[in-house]
Parts: sequence; structure tokens; C-alpha cells
Amino acid sequence: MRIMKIKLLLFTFIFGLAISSCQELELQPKGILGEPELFGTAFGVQKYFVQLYMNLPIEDFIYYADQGYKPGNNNSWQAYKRSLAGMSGEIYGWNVNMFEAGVGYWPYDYIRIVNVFINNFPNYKDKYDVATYNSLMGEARFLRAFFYQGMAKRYGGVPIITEVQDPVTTSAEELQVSRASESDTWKFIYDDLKFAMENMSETSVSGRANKFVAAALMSRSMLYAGRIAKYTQYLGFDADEAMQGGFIGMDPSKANEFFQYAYDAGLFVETGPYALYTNNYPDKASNFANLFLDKSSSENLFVKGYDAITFGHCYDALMSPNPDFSSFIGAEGGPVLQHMQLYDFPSLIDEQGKPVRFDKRSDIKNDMEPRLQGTCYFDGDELRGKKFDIQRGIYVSYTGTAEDAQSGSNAAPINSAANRKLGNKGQKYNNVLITGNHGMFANKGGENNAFMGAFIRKYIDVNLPTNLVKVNKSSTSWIVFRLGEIYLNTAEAGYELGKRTEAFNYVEAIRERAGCKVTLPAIDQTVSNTYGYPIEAGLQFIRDERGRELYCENHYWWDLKTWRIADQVLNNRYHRALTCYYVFDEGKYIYLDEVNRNNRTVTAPKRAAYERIPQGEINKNPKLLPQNPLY
Amino acid sequence: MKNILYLILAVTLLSFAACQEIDNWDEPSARLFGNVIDEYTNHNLLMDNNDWQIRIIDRTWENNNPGTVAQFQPLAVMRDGVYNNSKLFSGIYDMLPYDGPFWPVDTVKGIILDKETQQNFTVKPYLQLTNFTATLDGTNLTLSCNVKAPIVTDLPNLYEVKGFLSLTTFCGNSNYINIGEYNNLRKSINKTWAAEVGAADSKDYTLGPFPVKSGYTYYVRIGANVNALSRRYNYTEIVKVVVP
Amino acid sequence: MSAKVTIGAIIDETNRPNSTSWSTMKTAWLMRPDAPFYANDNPEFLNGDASVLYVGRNILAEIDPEISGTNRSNTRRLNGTLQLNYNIPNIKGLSLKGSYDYAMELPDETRFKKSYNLFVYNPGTEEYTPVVINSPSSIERSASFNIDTDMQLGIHYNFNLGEHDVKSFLIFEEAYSSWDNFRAYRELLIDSEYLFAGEALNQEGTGGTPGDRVSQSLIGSLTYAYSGKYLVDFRFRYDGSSRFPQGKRWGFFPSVSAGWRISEESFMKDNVAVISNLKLRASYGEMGDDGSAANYPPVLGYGLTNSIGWMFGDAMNGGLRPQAIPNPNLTWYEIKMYNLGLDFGVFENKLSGSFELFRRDRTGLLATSSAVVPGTVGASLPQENLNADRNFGWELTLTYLNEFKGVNYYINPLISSTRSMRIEWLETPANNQFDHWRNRTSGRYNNIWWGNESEYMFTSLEEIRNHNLPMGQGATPGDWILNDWNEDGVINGNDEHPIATTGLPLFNYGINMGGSWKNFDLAVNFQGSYGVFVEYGEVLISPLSFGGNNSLSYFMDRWRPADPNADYFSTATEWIPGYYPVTGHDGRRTGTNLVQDASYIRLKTLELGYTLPKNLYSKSGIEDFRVYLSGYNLLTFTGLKDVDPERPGAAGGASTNTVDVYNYPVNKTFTIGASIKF
Repeated sequence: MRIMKIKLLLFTFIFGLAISSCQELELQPKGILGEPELFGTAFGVQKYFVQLYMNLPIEDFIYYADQGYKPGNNNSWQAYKRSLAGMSGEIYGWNVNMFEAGVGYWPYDYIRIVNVFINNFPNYKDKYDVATYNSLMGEARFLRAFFYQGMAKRYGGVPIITEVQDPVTTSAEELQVSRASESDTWKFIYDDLKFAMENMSETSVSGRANKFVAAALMSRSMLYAGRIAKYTQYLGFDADEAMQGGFIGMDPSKANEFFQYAYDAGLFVETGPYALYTNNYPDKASNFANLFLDKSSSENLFVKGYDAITFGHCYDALMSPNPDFSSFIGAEGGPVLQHMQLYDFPSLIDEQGKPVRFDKRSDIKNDMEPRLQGTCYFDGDELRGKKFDIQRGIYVSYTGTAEDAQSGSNAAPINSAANRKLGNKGQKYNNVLITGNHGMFANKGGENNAFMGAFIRKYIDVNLPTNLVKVNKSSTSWIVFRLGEIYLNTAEAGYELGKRTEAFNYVEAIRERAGCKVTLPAIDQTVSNTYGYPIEAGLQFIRDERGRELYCENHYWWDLKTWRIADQVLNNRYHRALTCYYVFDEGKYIYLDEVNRNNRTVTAPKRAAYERIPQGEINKNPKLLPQNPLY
Repeated sequence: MKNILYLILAVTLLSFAACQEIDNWDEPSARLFGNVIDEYTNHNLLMDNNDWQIRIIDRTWENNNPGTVAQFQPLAVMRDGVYNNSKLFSGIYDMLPYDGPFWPVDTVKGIILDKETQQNFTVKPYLQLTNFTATLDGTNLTLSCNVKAPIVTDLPNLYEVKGFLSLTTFCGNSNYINIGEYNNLRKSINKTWAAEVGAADSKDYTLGPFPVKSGYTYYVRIGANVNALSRRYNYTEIVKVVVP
Repeated sequence: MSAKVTIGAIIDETNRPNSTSWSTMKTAWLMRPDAPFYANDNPEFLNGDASVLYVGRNILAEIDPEISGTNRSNTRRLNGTLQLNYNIPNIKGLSLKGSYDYAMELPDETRFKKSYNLFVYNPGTEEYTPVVINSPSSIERSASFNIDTDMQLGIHYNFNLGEHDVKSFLIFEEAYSSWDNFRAYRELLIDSEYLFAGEALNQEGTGGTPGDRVSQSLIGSLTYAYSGKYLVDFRFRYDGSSRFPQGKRWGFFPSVSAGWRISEESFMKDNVAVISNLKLRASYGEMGDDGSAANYPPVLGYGLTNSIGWMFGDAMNGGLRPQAIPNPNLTWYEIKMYNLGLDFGVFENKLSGSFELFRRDRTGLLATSSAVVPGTVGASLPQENLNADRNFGWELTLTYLNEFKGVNYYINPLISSTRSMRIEWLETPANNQFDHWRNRTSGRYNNIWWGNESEYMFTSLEEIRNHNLPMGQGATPGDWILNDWNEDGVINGNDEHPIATTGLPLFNYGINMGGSWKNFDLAVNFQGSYGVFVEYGEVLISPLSFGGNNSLSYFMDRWRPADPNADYFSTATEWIPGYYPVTGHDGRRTGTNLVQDASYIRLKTLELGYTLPKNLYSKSGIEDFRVYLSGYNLLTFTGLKDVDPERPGAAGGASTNTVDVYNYPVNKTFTIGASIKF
């Protein structure tokens, strides 16, 4: 009996212990920070802003033309198969005609994050000196504007949200916000940026915005807005519901107001500590190439940085041929001849229309604009210890004009198998290699096969050894805003405002640095009707200057779009190829202008002027109707 | 006892059947069809398959589901100007031929689609293409036709005149040999009718020569468009060209 | 009173080559027969010629840890258990049981990626140019610390009194687990495989988010049986989980089952002699699940994460992400199980079997309202108990045993069928009836395979040219026509409709049979499934799918011009027909052609045995000596062409993604053996 008691005691004792060690169901989540920790200190705010900066609508190395922004996606190796440059025909890439997709960009989650800050930050005002407080508040407005312009340039008018809505307590009705007019949307962006310019600090570390960066965004956005106001009328959308509702397009009379904003913003930027990059003078070609690699460049206003550890990109792995320059799949595209010929470019034919004879393939560069040489790699150029080696084939003999080659068509008599030798890597004709080491090979697709006769040099990191040229190992910064662009924005806005001389002074500065033959061309005011609307040759020249200076910086598509000419420029547009042949009986080289071998064309549908409002969002919120035209 | 067994048997059969069918929802089965008629010729409009669509808006859905706003489904129109879709749900629809090569028309409201419903539309084409000729000289094909604008006032810019070659009986902007040698032979205009044609209401255009291959059979036509919405084409009829 | 303490420790270590088995398998699939493993067949130099090897990969190097490095995983598990059992005297059948278990798991991973050279031989210069693979070498180490405790306290009471038999217990259980881990990475420039030897440049040190979780339950059971005729069982669980917010943590889940052995009733016993056993079973049970709930109920705030970063100056700054806005009502989602079963046996149980009907309804499944809340709100929405689904089906098993002229044999067929559907599902509103039918699933069966129907094959250019649907300019003989289901003159997404089921088979069945005669015994097992559809990808559906790499020979049976260089579109060209379309055209890869019926029945195992007569070895102390011959996967009957029905494909069946095809093949085995008992 007693023993039993003891046992019972013992038992209850042991499990008494166990139970006393009993867990609470209330557990503290680990690694969660609250508002006070974040908004209370400048560092906390910076940490809070990281998610916003990272998700800014920046079309850079990892932007997918058909899938949109994928920040933090560490698997961007397909980005240059589906690049904006490829889509808009600047380079000959793998997928074209991605216009139908639209990227469904709808960043209101980040806009909410900014709005939370803008609404609650005043509660922490006493923790900061006025300057810092204002600067941070300005920064938030800059970030918000950035997200909105990312939508405005796609959709026109979008819902403008400045409050933080609570989906639990708010009625479904209230949660459904309708689109603002396109002009109100751009005006909203203007107001945010104006505030930012007035309140942000003068300086900042690279990768962080300051008042001049805000001004740069102002300059670009307002230039877009001006173009949209002025040229949307020519799209033939007048009868469209969205157009009539003002959700797309603006009253042409508003154009000058926006151009003025852009112009002033440009002047504002010039008051900052920035200058065109000239460190590598006198060699203007390598100077231009370096401007995209030198992280300390005086021309950079704002860059998006990468490191090869957490967030690297794949640009190098995708733009130069494998295996000589890349340890990954290698070149996904090359520069298109139409664009090369925008620069000072050697004539490929003589007076009789015969192909010009060159002693060396690399002689093509003798008469070429340095800026182009800094933008593309041609035969003979050196990278990572190897030389580019590009040739398509051999003509046993070439008598007659360039025309006779019929853009490379096999049907042309002169291209008979007997006279034109095409081949694969290492293949020879009378002990002369038929192709170069990097193309163009007869038996391969475009990857690593210099289909366009040259490769992209802009942004290629020459310091990366070939064995490290692979997925996510590139750490070149993407330059979001540089003074060069701002000059051209100001120039175009100025010209649209009638300030022709001022405009061309900016163009001159750019062309001076580019090493063009003629730095300040005469201002030609003859009006043409190329795009179904009147445009002065002088203005066209400035537009082309953008095409030259900003080539492959993902401006071209937005320019075509906002000039309202995308559907006309990209109307069955062929990628033409610069193609080198060795003329056997002469021992000389010729360059021909050929149609890309897959006969691929780019065609932008009319509706690409605006993207489709995401259908899923319309289903959730019918107030977003009317949909943009032709969707 | 017995009943229980019967019950079980019944349930078995049910679940057996249930498991076998792929989908437990009914497929759509109502048919909507009709013609798109060219007001000038009184024949069906000449076009290419699915160049443009008729928008139908399902009002029944809207009425049965408050809070939703019905959005259009596109109905493809075929080359002979006939449209037909036999997999729709019965209901009340609004219909609008949209973004076609003709002057805008009004939405036809409240069409009741039961098992089978026919609905025709009459449209005024922007352009009429007539006197189409295709002349073959060896392996060079030349196309010509007359382009007429029945209504010139407010006519959007005349945009381009383009020859279409196809290897099948389908020929037009949705089915053609899309290569540089051919596309570059189109005539790009993008001018007002007055600027391009002047006072006259029609003008002849000749395109080519198109290099064609011997041993091939082509189906060819010319299309012309004005700068309205998606710039759909008005066409000539199709001609078969056999290259010896 | 008894106490028991057990302490256990397990250490297991696995070593694998650094390359994943998947990629090695793929490399093997694409290995060209004519591609040499060694450059210029010189065993000194592994071949790395990308023009013959798939992306220049050499399988010999990949499977050799000495060359490409190793993945070593080294897991230590320690656990100690204290169990106490106390039968309370005087009260028969009353006992207290308790146990406390403490387990610690410490996985320790080493990934050593070794850089190596392959070589390309240049006949001209007779040189071997090296190609560097995997450069630079790197070492990655990671360790986790997982601790679990489990405590159970129970009181048990059983008694029986004549025909009455009662069992019952009440148990309190608590389980707690916590986890944490970190990882370090360094590049190796010197020849070593240790972290300390790595370079500081590019080194990484990261940690996963640590966490912990508690669950508590009170579990009760009361079973009552009366003279083996009636059986009633009542159970309940009262569960609490730390995954849910205050006030919503606890759920009560009862279940009850009853059985009735009708055959024991006198009216059966006496009247229906044929029936030797007849039992009716029915049960209803509720269960709670928290598996898909986030580990902690959401709280206002921002979570740190490695997946967000931005360069300010020269430093990558980590960022944070907003938590979902809290949902105070988040709680258990409920499972309701309904079962109805009948067991029977007739003719002295020669023929016996059971039939089972079941249904499982789940309600309050977790999802967010993002399907209906406009995106402009921008909030990260919390999990809510929104959706409901159902699984249902039946199973039938029969067994027939008999003896015929000294042959004992048995046949045991079984078949089962299940299906699942969504009862209620929160979805974005459709915008017309067709959209609703095409894109919505609430109230609908799961696993519907949408697609076009393949109709027939073109056999001549003439036919293509005059076909009443546009086929595009590139169409050639051998191309397939898809059915214009809605007759609108265009073949597109609107012609898609349900054509098959995805996922697991609609019916699974099998037959076990066998018998014995004298000393011989035989066992045969067939298994099969009906109503299962699969889609294959990459190498199985097209030749040369990765350029000039190895391809399956059956693609040779394809449409092609008699003269390879002939112009495909010239009316003069003469064609040779085949099963597959012209290489590069995809007629066998679209519509119903792509969806293949993988129903099959297969002789899974067959075993023939002979037991040697005892007298041969009885003296040797051997009790039993049996030799046998057995085979595995001997015979397969299926409509599937060229592929094993059990191989996972790109979609349908058991597969999860397009590349499951690169796995170890299903194999056929024969065994001869003997089993000896002493």
C-alpha cells in the first residue's frame, strides 16, 4: 500500500516536471521588424526602401520584353533571348513579335508600400533634422513617381492610389477605383517629382536617388508625356472609347506644357555635379565603351548595381560567342545593319554600285564613327585575350554590282553553289577557311553564329575572364540615367518648343564626344510626312541621334511607342545583316547587305501604342473599363 | 437487408459512372452565324480568314451575375465573309463588327441566341479594289488593280497597297508568304486621299515584279488599307497562278 | 509500475558525385553513339568537343567524384525516450501511461564542386586544347539544427464483462519542433576541399529563417463491443496549433464508427447457410489540418529576406518584405470522412470479399482573396478559410480459394476508382458564360485535360492547298489537321475542350493468383490501370530536340521527300510517307496525338517454387529447403507506343514536370534463389 503511494507520487512527480515544461501556443515569429524600428532611423528607412528600389520599373539586363521585370530572379539567362532590343529590332535576337504579350505590369503592391511610408512617416518627424526628413519624404515621392511612370508609359491613364486601403474593413465597391485620365496621370507624376526635386538632398551614394535623379526622371517622363500629347491624334483612335474618355491620349494643346517641364528638368540636372564621360580621350571609341563600365563615371546620375554573389546578371554570358568569349550558351543576338548605318558608316559600294574591296576584313572600321566602334565588336577586335573572327563565305570571283547578290538570296546567279562557298566551322576551300571562327556558319542557328556580322560591345565587361562568363556572374551596373540621355531629352523637348539652336548645341556636345565627322549639322527645317504627320528634318535628326547614342540601352522601343510610329517603323521590318566575303580570285574582302537568313521580320501591331490593361484586374474591378484600343 | 444491398448497388453504379466522365459541366452548343455583306456589291465582303472579328457581348451573364460586366468574345469571320460559331452558350447578346476594313457600324443589341440564330451585317468598305490582273512573265509576276474610295470625306490616310502571294487557296494578310523580297514591293503611302489620288475617286496601282518559283502554284491578290484602327485590308478577289 | 528509457543515435552518410543524377541521365540520353569519350581516343584526355557532346558535357567526368567533386551529406540523429507505465492496483484495467521523447537531427551538407579540364583534339596541329569545366572550384557547407520533443500522458481503462467488452483511453499530447540553419560558400583557387582554404573574394554566408512550432492535443477513445456482433467506436481529438491566431487555435474533431456482423445474427445463422460471413461497416469522422497554414499567424510588420537586395554604394543591402495583413479568424480546415463498407464470405468463405464506398470532404481550405480583391489595393493578403473540395470513390476486393485434385489455388482480383472535385472555390468572376465554362473550376471535377482534337494527316500538297482551313505557308505532307471544334474557320484556343483526364488513373486494378501442388507453388500478380493519360516531351517526341545529339531511332519512320534536297513546296516533289511528320513539324505533338492513353496491364511478378522433400535433408538440421524462380515486369499489355506506361512523362499520369523522362528506366528482372530454414 505505501509502496503504491510512493510509486504514484513518483509518477505524478516526473510528469509534473514534464507538464511544467509545457509549451505556450503563443510563439514569437522570428525576424519580423515593425514600423518604429524602420521609420525611426535613417538606416531603417533605407532598409525599408530597398524593396522599392529593387522593384523599380527599370528595363535593364534582366528585363523580359514579354514577361516584364524579374528583379531578384537569379535565373535571367533567357532575358536576352527575349530582350527589348530584340523585340524592337535593334538587335537580331531569338524571339521577335512579343508585342501581343504585354507584361501585365501592375505594381500597386509597391505603391502601397510607398504610401504606407508617406502616410506614417510624419509620426516620426521629431526623430530627424528637417533636411533629412524632407529628403527621405522626397525620396519616397520619387519612388512612387517611378512606379507610376512605369504604368503610364504602358497604359496611359491608371487608377491613382495615394491612400492605404484596408481590404478587410472597406466595401468591395470602394476598393474598385477607376482609371484617371492619361493627362492627370502624367500630372500626378509631375507633382511627385516636383516635390522630390525641391526636397531631396543634393548628393547621394551611387545607386541612391537625389534631387538630380528626380529631375532626370522628370526629364524623361515629361518628354514622353509631351510626345504622347502631340502625336496620339495621328493614331486613328479618335472613335475609340478609351480615347474619348481621355484614358489614353491628351489634348495636343497640352504638349508644350509637358515639353517645357522636360526642358526645365534638363536644365536643372545640368546644375548638378555631372559631366559627359571623357576619361579615355583621345581614343573616343574605347572612351565610349568605357563609359558603361567605369562605375565612377561622372556621367552617371543613377545606376542599378549588381554583384556576382547575391544578384548577378547574365548579359556577358548571352552577348558574346561561346566558347571563346563565354562559358555559357553564348551570343543570343547581334547588331542590325539598319542601326549601324545610322552612324558614320563606310560605304559598302562604290560609284558603279560594285562592292568596295577591302584588304583586311577589319578595314571596315577605317571610316567608321568611333561611337559605333565603341558600341559593337567587329572582325579583329579583341576581347578576353581572343580576337573576333567573322566571315560568311567565299566568292570564287565577284564581278558585277552588290545588287547582283540579291540580299544574299540563293536564287541569285552569282550565289550559285559553284561561285559562292558557304560552310561550317573549320571548313576550307582551296586551303582557305570559308568562315570565321565566330561565324557565319551554314549549319548552325543564330546562337554563337555572327548572323549580323558583328557583336554587341556596349556593356560587355572586358575584365571578366572567359571561365567566369556564365549565368549570374556579370556584375556590370545598369545605368538608369546618364547625362547623355538628359542632353538628348532636353534637345528634343527644346526643338519641339522651337528652341532649335539650343537643341542642336546639346546634339553637338554628344556628337563631339562620339567623334562624329560633322558635330554640328545645319538645322534642316524642311517638313516631311514620313509617319503620316508633319515632322521637320531637324527634329528627325535629333530622334536619330537618340538611336545612335542610346542604342541598346532599351530606349528605342519607348521612343518609337511615344512618337507613335512603332507600328510604321516596325511594319514587316527586316533585320539586315552586314556580311563579309573573301573574293578568292582577287584576294580581297567585300561586305554585302543581306537579309537575315531566317527571313525574320518585326511587326508591331497598331495597338502596341498602349498595352492591355490586365484582364484579370478588369474582372476584379470592371471600373477599369474601357479597355485600351484593339484588345 | 435486401434494400441495403440494392442501395449499395445503386450507389456503386452512380460513383462508377461519375468517375468515368471527364467533366461534369455541359459543353456549349448554341450556333450563331451569318454574313457580312458589302453594301456596294451586295455580295459578301472579300477578306481573309480571321483578319478581323465580330465582337459579341453576353448580356445574359451580366444579368445573372450582378457586379460583373460582360466583356466581348471575338467571333472569327471567314474569307467568304461568312461567320459561324457552333460552340456558344444560349443567351442574349449584343454584336458589333469591329476593326474591319469598313466605316464603323453600330452595335446590334439584344440578339437572342437560342439553338441556332442567324444575324447578317451590311458594311461600307473604305476601299474597293477592282480590275485585278496578275501577269506572269517567266518567273516574274506583276499585279495591278484599281483602288477606289466610295466615300472620300473623313477617309483616314490611305496607308499602303500590298500584293499578297500564298501557297494555299487562303490568301491575304492572315495567310501569305511573308518574306522581304515580296513585302518590300508594297506601295507605302500614308497620305490623305487628296494628297495621293487628288480629285479623282480612284487610282490604278501596279505592283511587282514578284520573283516566283517555277513548279509552284500561287494564289495571289492585292490588298489596300487606310490608317484606321488596325488598318485591315480591303482585297481584290484571289487569282490562281501556276508557274510552269 | 514499469519505466523504460531508450537512447538512440543514428549517423548516416551519403556520397554522390557533384553532378545531379538527373543531368547525368540526360547526358546519357543525348550521348551520340559516335561521340568518343576520349579526345582522339587517347585515355589521357577526356573528350570535351561540344560539336559531338551535349553542351560539351562528358558523362565519365560527371559520374567520377575524383574529377567533378562530391556532394556529401552527413546526418546525425539522436533521441532519448522515457516511458512510464503504471497499472493502478485494485482497479482492474486502469493504467497510467506516459512518455517523453526528445529528438535532435543535425544534417551536415558538403558540396564540393571541382573544376576540371576536358579536351578538344585538333587533327591539324595534333594538339589537345583544354576546355575548363566548373571553374572555379568551390566548396559549400551547410548545417541545420532541428529539435523535436513529444510528450504523451495517458490514462487507459479496459474491461470486459460477459458479452460486453469496453476499451477506452484519454491522452494528452504535446509536440514541439524548432529549426535553424546556416550555409557558407567559398571559391577554391588552391587545390583543396576545405572551407578554410577558400578565397575571401566572393565568399557567401547566409542563414535560413529559423522557426518553431507547437501543437497540443487531447485525444479520447471509447470502444464498445457486444458478443462480436455489434461494434461501436467513439473517438475525439481536441487539437491546438501555434499556426493559428489567439482564440482560433483549438478545434474539436469527433469521429464515430459502427460495425454489425449480420452473419452472427440467429436469423442469418439458421436460415441462410451459404453466407458464412456478412459484416456491415459505417463510419463518420472529422479531422482538422493545419499543414498548409503559414508557420506563424501573420502579424503587422516586415520580414527580412535574402531574396531582396539593392546596391547602395558598393554594398549589396538586404531588404524586407511586408507581412500579410493579419486575419484573426484563420483556423483549422476540416476534413469530413464518410465510409460505408460490406465484408462478406460465402460457401465456408471459399468466396469472400469486401466492398468499400468513401467520400472525403474538406472545407475551409486556405487561400487568399487575391482572386477577388482588386490589385490596386496592393496589400499582401492573408490566408483565409475559403475553399472546399471532395474526393470520392469505391473499392472492390474478391478472393476465391479452392482445392481441385490436390491443387490448392486462389484468385484475388481487386479494383478501385477515385475522383476529386472542387465544391467551392474562390475565383475571379468570369466575364461571360464561355469564359466561365473555359476558365473556372468551382463545382467542377479536377484533372480535366483541355486540348484540340487531332483529325487526320495530309498526304499531298494538293490536299493542303485545297483544305478548307488555313494551314500556313509551311505546311507539308505528313502534317496533321486539328479539328475546328467550334466550326468558326479558325483553329485556336477556342477549339480546346476537355479531351482527357490528367493526374492519376481513374481505375486501378490488379489480380493476384496462385496455387500449390505437392511441393510446387506458384504466385502470379497482375497489376494495371485504366483511364490514365500522359504527354511526353523533349527526346521522346521529337528527333534532334537538342540539335545534333542522339535521337531515338523510331523517328526514322517519318514523312520525307524521296530526294532529301528536293523543294518541299514544289508540286513535282515525290514524298515517302511515315508515321511521324517531317522532322521539325509537330503533328504528333499537338492535340489528342500528344495525349496518349497509358492504360495498361502488366505481369508484375511471377514466382515458381519447389520445396525439396524433407527426407533429403531432415538429418542435416535443415527444417525447410525451397528453391524458386521469380521474375519482375515480365509482360506488359498497353496501347502506348514505344514507351513504358510507368515512365513519368511531361504531363498527366504521375509526372510533375516536363523532364521527368530523364530518370532510371523501369527494368525487368529474373531471380533464381533458394530459401533455407534451420
